[in-house]
Amino acid sequence: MAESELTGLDKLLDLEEEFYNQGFEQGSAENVKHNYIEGKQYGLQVGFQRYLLLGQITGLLDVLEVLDGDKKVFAKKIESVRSLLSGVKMDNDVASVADYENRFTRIKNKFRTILLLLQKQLKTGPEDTLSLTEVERVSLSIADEIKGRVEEDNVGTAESLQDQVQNW
Amino acid sequence: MSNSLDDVWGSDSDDDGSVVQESPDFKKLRDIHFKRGYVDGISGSKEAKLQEGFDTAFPLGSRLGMEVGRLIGILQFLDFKYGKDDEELHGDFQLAQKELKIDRVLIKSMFDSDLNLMGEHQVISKWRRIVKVHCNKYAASISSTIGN
Repeated sequence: MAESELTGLDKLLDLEEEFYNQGFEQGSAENVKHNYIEGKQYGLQVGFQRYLLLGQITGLLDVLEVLDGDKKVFAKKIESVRSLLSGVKMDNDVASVADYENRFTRIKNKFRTILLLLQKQLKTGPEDTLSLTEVERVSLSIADEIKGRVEEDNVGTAESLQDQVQNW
Repeated sequence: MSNSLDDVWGSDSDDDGSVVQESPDFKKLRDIHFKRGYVDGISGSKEAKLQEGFDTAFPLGSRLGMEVGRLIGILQFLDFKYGKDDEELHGDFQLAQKELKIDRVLIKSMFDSDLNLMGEHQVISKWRRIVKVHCNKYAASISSTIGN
């Protein structure tokens, strides 16, 4: 093969590589951007779901504390839950998640005892009182509606995250 | 591009500044190898940045969940205590459970294209105002702790 032909072949191969690299960079950049946004969707959703019940317990205690007033029947127990709530970190570090899990269980257990005490104070039966089950039912009804995405406005048939990934 | 290839694929650097004409073969060559690279680029980056995105948005989701939860909790206790005699309060508690659902809070119109919250969350702000009204009636000291 003549030298000029070899040079032409080399340049052809260089050109193919250049196009390949351009495509690779674009594909990679688009996928990384897509992944980042998809990760944010999950992060928003999971963060919301994990902290909703804790916020709800905070709100319930806020009102209970006011209604308890000067009697302070619930004061110590409320303070105990509040101290646990105040230390909850809201990031996704491994240590923060482990601490969250630990506190979450303790907060729920302590809150349950507060509700039982409330039932005693009000002298009501289980059906007429505020139970942890009812509190959790409300929490679940609010938090358990979507799977991994920020919803489109006014879209009745929202596709799942998996669908989005497949369509992308 | 090299002049030695111009006779095959045409030039992409005309001196006169006129529109570059690509030969069909040149376009085909570029498309084939660009697409191959593009596909490899997607599969090669797999789940890169997925975790980073999750960790970045998680605290915002947590804050929104915490805030929505608190509003719901306040309404729930007030409803438990006074809801039987206060229809408006009872109705608002029922409505809040619908309007503050996760799919109504995490909604695209509240976020920019990078999923950052655009200013105050309007749905949450609306419910802050409503909850404050009920607090003013039954538990006034809580009102000042609910934002605007």
